[in-house]
Amino acid sequence: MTGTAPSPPPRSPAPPHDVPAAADLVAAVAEFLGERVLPAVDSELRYLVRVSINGLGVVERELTAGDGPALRHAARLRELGCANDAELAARIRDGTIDAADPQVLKSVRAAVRDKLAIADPRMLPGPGAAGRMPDSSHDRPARSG
Amino acid sequence: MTAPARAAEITVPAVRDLLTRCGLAVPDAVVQLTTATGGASRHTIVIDVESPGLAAQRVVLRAGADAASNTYPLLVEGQLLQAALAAGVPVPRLLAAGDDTGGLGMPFLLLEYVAGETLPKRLRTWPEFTRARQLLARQLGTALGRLHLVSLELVPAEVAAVGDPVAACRDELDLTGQPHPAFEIGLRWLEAHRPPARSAVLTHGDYRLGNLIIGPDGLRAVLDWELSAVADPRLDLGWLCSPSWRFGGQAPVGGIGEYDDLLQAYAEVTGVVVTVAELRWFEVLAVVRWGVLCIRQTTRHLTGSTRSIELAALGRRVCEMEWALMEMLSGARQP
Repeated sequence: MTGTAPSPPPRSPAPPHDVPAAADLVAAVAEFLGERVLPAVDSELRYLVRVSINGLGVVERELTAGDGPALRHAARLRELGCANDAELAARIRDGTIDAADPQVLKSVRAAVRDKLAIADPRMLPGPGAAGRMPDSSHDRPARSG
Repeated sequence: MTAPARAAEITVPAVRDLLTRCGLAVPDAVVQLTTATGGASRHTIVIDVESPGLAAQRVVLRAGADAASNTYPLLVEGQLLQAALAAGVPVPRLLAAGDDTGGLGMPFLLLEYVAGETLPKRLRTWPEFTRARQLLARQLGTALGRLHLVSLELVPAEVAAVGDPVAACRDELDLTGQPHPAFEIGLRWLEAHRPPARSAVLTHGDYRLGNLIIGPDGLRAVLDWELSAVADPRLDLGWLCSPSWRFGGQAPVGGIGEYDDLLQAYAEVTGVVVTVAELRWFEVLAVVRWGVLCIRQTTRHLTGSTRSIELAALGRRVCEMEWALMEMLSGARQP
């Protein structure tokens, strides 16, 4: 059975692999889970299937984004004179980097934004997004006490 | 979770035997078990009992070995529930409790089943909860106020005291071994803007939508007492109002209610006036703390102690809390 939703143009596979590209393969799995598995399972399992589909969406976006986020992050760390996030975190803690410095705040904010664009782009303000606040539990199954 | 693992000892015959010994069933009762939540150590199981000649009843079993748990013993939870109930906090009534070394082989609590809804999105949007939404902020303020008035002499010694919540949060972050510059900024901000201390009280520790049973008439029961601690009362208020627990809504109290209703009701019960400005610090702390707890949950999956897609997925949601934090600190979105 095939899905009916219009598909985005296929992405190029990373050499030497064949089509589908990893991102397209992951998208196909997510589609299958959404179209065939989700309607067929009980409400408790449905929640975990949704979590799984969301997880595959993260992987698809990360694969599609390529090395852009990593390059931007390396540039940000260079500007702050840090080798990596561990050094940046340690220096904010010990005060050798000022946590209230606007440049530091701007840089860390940009890094978080890049992570969020992959993890859950719906949370970012901008065209087509409401900039909603975190929704920490999705749709958990009901409990009783 | 679907069909969460249930301890092998928790079988229908073992539960029927337990219920019979506690006077809640007869030996030939029909007993049906539904696992509500399963953790690494504690199990919550809904039990339907049909004893011949008696009305069908539904009770809740909490059971699990204390050694495998990372919180206080289960029987202490029973004592907390009783203290909360006596103080007028709506909680499930405790029907029986014990170590049950000869039966289930693990400590247990048998609790009243409280019917109602826990799912935040339904509570926020379904028409049948319209009245509950109007009442909830005040009810939450009243219930929390009553809990915070519980005499510390009645609090079991096993319930931990939180000294400095910022240090506790930093220690938790260090346990993850993961670098998070955004949370370090948050911790520095918290250090630099500490409000004057208030006297410690018995706190719930995880007071928020999702841990509350709510009916059309509003709050029916407060659940999930495992994070209960002796701490600053504003920790519970800030946690409840944290952006992390608004579930897509705009209103500060669980995405449903307003500050004034919550804080006025709280002040009427306790005599303690907490301002919205004062609460902001605790909301920032709540966002950092929830982010750190999410990293720890993902670590449970990655280290193999509890393999779970649900826990794995939480790791990539940590940046939501980082984003909320950066928004709060930049003042772009006042809580």
